[in-house]
Order: sequence, then C-alpha cells, then structure tokens
Amino acid sequence: MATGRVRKASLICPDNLAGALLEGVQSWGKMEFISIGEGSPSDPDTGNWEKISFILDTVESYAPPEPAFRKLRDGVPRVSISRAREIEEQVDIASDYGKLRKLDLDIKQAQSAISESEREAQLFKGLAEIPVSSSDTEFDTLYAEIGVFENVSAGELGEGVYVFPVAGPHKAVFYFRDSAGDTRRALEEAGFRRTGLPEDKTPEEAVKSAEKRVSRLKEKMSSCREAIRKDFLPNLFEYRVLGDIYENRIEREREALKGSETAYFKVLEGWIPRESEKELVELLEENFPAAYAEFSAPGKDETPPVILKNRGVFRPFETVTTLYGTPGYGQVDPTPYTAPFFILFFGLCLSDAGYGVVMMLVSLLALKKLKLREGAKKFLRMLVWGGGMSVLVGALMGSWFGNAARGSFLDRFMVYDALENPEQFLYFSVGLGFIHVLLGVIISAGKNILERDYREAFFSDIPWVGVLVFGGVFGVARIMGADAPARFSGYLVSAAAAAVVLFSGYRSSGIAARIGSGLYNLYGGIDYLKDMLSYSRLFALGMATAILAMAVNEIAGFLTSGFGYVLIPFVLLGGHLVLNLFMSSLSAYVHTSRLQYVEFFTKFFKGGGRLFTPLSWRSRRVELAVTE
Amino acid sequence: MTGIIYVIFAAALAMGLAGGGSAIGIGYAGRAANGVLSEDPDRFGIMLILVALPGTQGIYGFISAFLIILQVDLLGGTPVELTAVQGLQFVGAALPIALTGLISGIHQGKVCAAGIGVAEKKPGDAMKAVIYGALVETYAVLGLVITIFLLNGIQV
Repeated sequence: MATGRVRKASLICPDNLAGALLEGVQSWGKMEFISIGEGSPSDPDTGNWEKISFILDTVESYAPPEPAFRKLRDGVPRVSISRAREIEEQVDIASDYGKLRKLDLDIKQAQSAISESEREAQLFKGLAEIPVSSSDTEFDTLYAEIGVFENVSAGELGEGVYVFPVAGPHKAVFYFRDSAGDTRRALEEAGFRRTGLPEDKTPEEAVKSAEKRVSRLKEKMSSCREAIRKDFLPNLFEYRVLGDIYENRIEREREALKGSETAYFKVLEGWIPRESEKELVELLEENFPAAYAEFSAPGKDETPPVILKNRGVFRPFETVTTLYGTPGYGQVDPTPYTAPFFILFFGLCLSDAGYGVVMMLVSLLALKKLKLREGAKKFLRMLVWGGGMSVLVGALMGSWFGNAARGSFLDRFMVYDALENPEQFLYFSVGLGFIHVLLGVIISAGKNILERDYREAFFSDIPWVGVLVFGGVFGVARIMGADAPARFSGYLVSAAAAAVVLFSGYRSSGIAARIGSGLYNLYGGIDYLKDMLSYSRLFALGMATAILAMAVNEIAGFLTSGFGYVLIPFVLLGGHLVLNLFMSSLSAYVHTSRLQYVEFFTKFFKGGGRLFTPLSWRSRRVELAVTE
Repeated sequence: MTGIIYVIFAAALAMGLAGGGSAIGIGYAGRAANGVLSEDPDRFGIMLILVALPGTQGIYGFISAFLIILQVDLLGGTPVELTAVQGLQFVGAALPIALTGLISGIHQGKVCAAGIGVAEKKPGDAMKAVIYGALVETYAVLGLVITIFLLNGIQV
C-alpha cells in the first residue's frame, strides 16, 4: 500500500483575520504549514507566557505528588476549548503573577536572611565566653583583634604583640598602633583569620538575637508558603489549562511566522490530505468567508510530508515502521505487510498459551482501565495481537506455562510437540523466512512497476522472484521425492538464474561488463539464503521460552516438602511471570522487529520521508478538546 | 561411569560461560544506565530494557545446561550410565552456546552501554539502539540452535 497523497493549500486572508484563521485551522487539525517567507506575529497576546510559566512552575512545586498509578488510571482531565477560554477570561494573570512573585521573592529573601543569621549564630557561638562587644575593644594606643591562627604559633609574631587564648581556638591579639603595619604583615604571614566581635553586643547576645531572627524569618516563610497553598494551589487546574492554551498559541505564532504578507493580506501555505480539500473549503466558507483558498499538486522539486493511513489491526504496527524510518512520499508503506508477520513471529517466539493469555488480559485491562497516550495504546494493541497469536501457537504446541498442563484436557488442542521433534520447528521457521523474503522481493518488483522503473522490476526483481519460487518448489519436490516436478522446477530455476546473469547487470555498459555484473548479482543471491537462515531465531526463541518454563516447573516440583510449599508460589510467579514472560516477550519483540528491519525492509524500503505533522491542539497538562 | 563427570562439566560450561558473558554485559550496561538515572530517574523503563538485553545469553546457557541435566536424568538422582566418549560429546555440544554466549554477552553489553547514551540524548530513538543490541545476540541464538541439535543427536 502506498502512503497517503497530499495537496498544497494556499490560504489568503485579510491581515486582521490571520490569528482567528490559524486557530480555526488548528482546531481542524489537518494542515501542516510550509515556510514561505518572514511573516509577522498574528497574535500579540503571547507575552503572558512567561508569567503563566512562572505561576505554573511555582504552584506545581506546592502540589502534593500524585501516585503514579492514579496518574495512569485517570490520565489528564479533559477540557473543551470553549471552557478553556472561559477560564482564561476568569483568571487575572497579571494580578496573580504580581502577588505570587512578591510571595516568592519574600520567601527567597527570608531564605537568604536565614542562612546569613544562622552563619552569624554559628560564628559567635564559638566566642560566647567573651563578655565584650567590638566597641569595648577600642583603645588609644593599642589595637585588639580576635581570630584564629592557621599556620604558626603566636610566639613568632615578634616583640610588642601580645596573644591570649580567649575561647577554644580563638585568640585575642593586642599590638601597638605605632607598629601596626609590621604587625599586620606578620599576622597575615601567620595565617591569622579575623573573626571579629559583634558591634554593641556581646557574642552571647548576638547568638540569641540571630536565633530570634531565624525563628521570625521562618515564621514569615511559612506564612508565605501557606498563602501560596491557600490562594494559588486551588487554582492549579486553571493554571494548567492556561499553560496548554498559551503553548498552543505560541505554536500558532510559529506557524504564522512561516507565512508571507502584503500590506493588507496574509498568505499561508501548507499541506493537507488530498481527500480533505473539500472539508477545508467548507471550513473557510462557514467561518472565514473573507479568506480564500487555492489548491495545487506537489511540485517535482518539493518534498511533501508522508501520511500513513492504516486502519484497524494494521494501525498499531505503524510504530514498527516509523521506528525504522518513514517511507518517502508516494512510496510503499510496509505496515500492512509488517503487521501479520510481526504477529506471527511474535507468537512463535513467545510460543506459550499461558503467557499469551496473561499478556492479552493485562494489555486489554490496561487499555480499558487506564487513560494512556496514543503511543502507549498502540504498543498495548500490538501486545494483544502478539499475545493472541502466542495463545494459538502455544495451544497447538501443548505449551501452557511450559509443561504445567500436560495430561489435562488442553492436550486435545496439541498437534505438535516441539520438544519431541525440534527439527520440524526449525524447518517451519526457515520456511516462514523463505515466504517473508520472497514477499519482500515481490513488493520490490511491484513498487518498481508503480514507480515506472520497469528495468529494475523486470531485469532484477522478477528474475529473482523466479529463482526463489522455483527454487522453493525444487526443494519441496526433492524432499518429497517427486522426481518429475523436481526436474522441471530445476530447469525453471536455471532459466531464472540465467535471466539474473543476463539482465540484472543492465546498468553496466558493454555485454561483458553486464554479464560479469550479472554473475556477481547471482553470487549475491547467497544473501537471500543467509536471510532465510536468520529466521531460525524463531525456533531458538520459541524453544527457549518452552524449556525455561519447564525448568521453572521442575524447580517448583522440588519444593514439595515442609517449608518448600511456602516458596512454590514465589518460584512459579517469579520464574514464569517476572523472569520468563518478561525476558521472552522482550526477546520476541526485539528479534521480531529485527527480522522486519534487516531481512524484510531491506528488500524494498528506502525511507527518507517525513511524517505529516499538522497544526493541531497539543495537550500536555490537560486534554484540550475541540468539541464539548 | 566417568562420562557423567564430563556431562556435569558440559552443563557447567554452558551455564558458566554464557552466564558470565551476560553478567559482564549487564555490568557494562548497568553502569552506564546508573549514570543516566542519577540525572534523570524517569528513564528507568527504557534503561531497564537496554540493561536486561545482554541477560538473554545467560538464559540460553541455563536452558542448554537444563537440557543436558534432563537428558542424563541428573535431577532424578540416578543418572544414566555413560562412557567417557559419550560424556565428551556433551562437552562438544555445550561449546557453541558457551562460547557464543560469553563473547556476544560481553559485546552486547558494550553496544547497549553505548545505546544508553542514545536513550539519554534522544529518548525517541532508544528502540533503535535496542535493535542494534539485538544484532549482536544473533550469534548466541545460532549457538543455542546448534547446541539444541547437537544435544538432540547424542544417543544415551
């Protein structure tokens, strides 16, 4: 299936209508704008964003943390755009910002003052034994200083300097004013660190005063915080709505700047899905009669965005495709081919009906009960399908939590025992690889025909399809001992191989170079064989799940005495669900994806596209809904 | 009866080397993931996948060791009597998963550790890093396939 087609829409409207038109298009949600010039802002009202952002950051930090499970269960609240607008009118952003800013500033200033006071209290606590203030230490002929010596003992300071211990490591230094210069130099060399004394207070009084100040400031901080909790926290929902409204407004602004303009008109260009042209015309006629739209096909030198338009079961598997890359515009979208093989391979890798049931039920329950984002929903839907296939494969192979249900009525569904005949499972896996690789080459041929690259399709792809199909028939006929079909298909393989040698080197010039290149291409066919063998991982991972489950059951079986009975549920739950189901489903997902990317996509998928991202209402803190 | 000694050695080889490879691999990835988690604890989910990925080799080793133990009925307490040649066949059968598990486990750990860097800077591309990690594991998967077939072919 090819990717969706787009049309280019040019919207022209009076300059004063641009903001409303952009909002209308945003609500419509089907237009991706292209940059055609240096437009001017259409809505000058985005200046409040900084205020809203500050309010949100501050108030959110006061909100009690919401349990993760409740967040998953309830999701974000849904608000219609019209209700959001009412909220915007009710909230006085400038006033709230002013009040909150003041409270926040008061808290910050108090915090800073508390640190300062605590530091002061700490400092003077060490000097509490000294019963004087700094004003008591001023003398006519002497200087008196208090501090700590870091390097040397006070005895090396020279004559006329008197040092007395006063409190702990603190020393009082007395020296004459006449020789102050020399003494201060000596003090510096001795690593004298001045601590000083408080002015007009003794150190003990200063400590008490600082402690009182700290207590008062803490009270102030607490009352500011209480004011934020009381006056602003109840409005958090409204602020969140405003946050989303403003972020969307800013996004519209970004789109407006992509437009071009004349003195009175604004021109906006963008891509819309081809089938939505009429819808856009109707939207303009109903709501913006002064606007005019023109439509055109994408130009040859343009790179339009890509729309993946898969439905139903195929849709969740778009994530597998886009994880690898986005197909180019008009190229084949591999999703519909990926989905059935992904489900089948995942089921074969997990290959246990019990695990499949658990996976399906948990995924369905999560889809029903939790409010999840679209990406998570897609992933869970993939797990539902993969789990379902695992139930089917596991039931047919008689694997229900390993061998736990052997001997029960469930054996009636078993048609094959992989532990008895593992080689058949391997042949089946490689056989599936053959079909998958062949499909890849057929899609490549179809794609080249659609793109009118007939030489690549008929000279390269189709001869290889012949080699693979007839080679497959030849192999089956030989295994079944049917000589005549084997001989006939053998001739056809040779003919197809000859076609590869003769034609696939068509890009080279000269017959010898073409045949040489063709021979090299034929040798390159070994890659197809290598690709098919890579599918043996389906067998290995399927066996790994079954044997590990069996090992868990065996270990639990050893515990059937005394205290061991208590451990059995832990061993079974931990072994089956935590270890085996987790590791096996991780391996199943990763290796199934790898088979798609490395063995399948490389046959036909070029990528290089860019996904269609129309302007629409983005929801982050609340779910903004266009309808009520 | 000496054969059973080789069988025990084969089971120990499969589990020990493949498990050792996984342990080293998870060690590399785990250290890198902890570095990221210290900055951004919300990335735990995707980090867990990248850290757990090199753990599969140990499981393959465990499965092979378990198959060996089952085949000679070591669990039942009365193991099958084996000659030294039969026992050595088990050692040979255990080697593919033991060696591929050891080497690929270590290297997968290194690829996943680098992938954690991708997941940190571009969370949207983290699954691409997971796929690269899976490419390394291919050889342990093939080792397991051969070990299963070799064990299946040993007559006891």
